[in-house]
This record gives sequence, structure tokens and C-alpha cells, in this order.
Amino acid sequence: MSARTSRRIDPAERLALERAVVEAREQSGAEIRVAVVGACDDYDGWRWRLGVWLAALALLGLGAFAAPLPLAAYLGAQGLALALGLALARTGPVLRTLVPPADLEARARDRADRIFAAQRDAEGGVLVFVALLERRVLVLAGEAARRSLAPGRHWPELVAPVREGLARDDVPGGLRAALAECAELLPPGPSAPAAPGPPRLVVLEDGPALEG
Amino acid sequence: MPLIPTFDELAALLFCVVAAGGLGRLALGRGRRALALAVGALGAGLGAALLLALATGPGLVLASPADAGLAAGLGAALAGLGRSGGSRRGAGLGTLGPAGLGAGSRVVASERW
Repeated sequence: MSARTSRRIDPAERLALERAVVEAREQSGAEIRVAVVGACDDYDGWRWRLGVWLAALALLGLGAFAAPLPLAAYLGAQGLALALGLALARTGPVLRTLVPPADLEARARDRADRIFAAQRDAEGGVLVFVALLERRVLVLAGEAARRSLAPGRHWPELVAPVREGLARDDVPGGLRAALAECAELLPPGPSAPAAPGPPRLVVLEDGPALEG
Repeated sequence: MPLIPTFDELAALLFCVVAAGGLGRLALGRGRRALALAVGALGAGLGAALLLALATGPGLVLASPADAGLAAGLGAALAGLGRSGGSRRGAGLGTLGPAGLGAGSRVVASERW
């Protein structure tokens, strides 16, 4: 499963997603936006850490198991091990194994909060945020939007359709289903005035270059 | 070194892999902080000492207590180094960080898939 948004959402799907956002905004009156981010951080520290560990392991292994070698061989082996570690940590599964889940969650929340804060009407805004590398789905809502939540409904109800879409590798489909739910969760009301749409209803970011 | 490894060498290699896995797990932030660090440092030191003993072959176990101490110290240092640092892009430039999310964050639902 690629962490690049451009591989997961093509231009036609983006247009369809934007139409779904506009419909959800018209039906609910809330300033709804969608963001899909490939990776919320470059996680450079973790990549280097893996490289250094592999380099140390290579040195230890050569010293313990191989016949005495020239210095260049030890340095070369460490360099290769370092490069291997850096390359391995460019893949999503390896990086997700390296980074503690709490850190992944924190990066996703941080990025989502920044995108949410850029909304014109953050108080009445709702952001459905997907972090592909971190494998997180977040929903953010301003105070006015929280107050306008329909009785008996809960915000996690927006997450479920996105998760289902992700499970079948259909990110845009899952997001469109979540947007349809928005209209039911957020009935139009005085606390959620319809604001003219910002230029970017759908935010798609690849983030740092990562694979998988 | 012969091309076909002996049983001892295979065992040493296996131990090396297991020890590296344990070290890596400790270094990469899993476990319970201080306790993990203390136990991990001890385990890493013992592991390094045992690894050296296995790698040098039968009869060439660590030459002196100083060697064992050096190995244990090396393991502890590795474990301690591995626990430090980490990536926090934007740290100090307004990043919210885990501690700052409670009050300011607008997250109302979050789920991992």
C-alpha cells in the first residue's frame, strides 16, 4: 500500500472528492475539508538510528566471525550497512516498526492540527484527515461544529467509513462515504454558518519521499 | 574461517541476531523507559560478553574480568545511546508535540487502521 497520495488518488478522484465536499458543506452548513497526507514527518532520526545500528552490527559481525580484514573493508561494510539501514527505513512498513505508535500518533495529530488551523472558519470547521504512512484517520472539529453535532451521534462515526475504504484500498471512496455521513451528523443550524469555500477543499500532500 | 560454519559459529550467529533484536527493541523506544533501560543495559552487557565468548570459540572465553567489564560497558553504552534522540521535525519551531495536544488540539476522533 503506497504512502504517496498521488498514487492513491488520481485527478479524477480528486475532482469527485471535491464535489462530495461541496455537497456535504451545502447540506450541513459546516466548513468541511478533507486532507490526505502521505507522511507527517520525515522521521530522519529513526532512519539514521537504524543505519547506525546496522553499521555497528556489521562491524561486530566482521570482527567476531571473519578473518582479519584491511581497515577499508571494515569501513566499507559499515558504509554499506548504513546505506542499507537508510534505504530500508524509507519503506513504510519498516518505518512503522521503528517508530513507537505514540510518536506516529503525535505526528499525525500535529500535522492535522496545522492543516485545520489554516482553515478560514476554524470554529465551524470539520476536517477529515488521513495519514497514510502513520495509518491514522483523524476527525477535527471547531467549537461551533462540536456544538452542532446531532443528538445521539458521535464523531467516530465519521472514521468508520474511511477505515472501510482504506481496508479495500479505496481512499476516495471511504472519504466520500464519510462526507455523506457529515450531512447527518451536522444538520444545518445557526451555530454552523455556511462560509464561502476556501480554495483548497481537498488537501493532498505526499510529505517526505517515502515508499510503501 | 572455514566456509561451512560449525555448530558453535551458527549458535553465535543466532545469538548475535537475537541480541541485536533485543538491543534494537530497547533502543527504538519500546518498553518501560527507566526499567527497560536498566534491564536492557544489563542484558545487553551480558549479551555482549556472551557473544564475545561464543565468537572467540571454545577455550578462548573472555580472557579477564576486565574484558567482561568492557563488554558489559559497551552493551550498556549502546543501550543508553539507542534510547536517546529521535526525529522531531519542527521541534522548537512551534510544533505541538504530544504534551501540547490536549488543550489546543481540535481532534475529536482518532483511529489507527
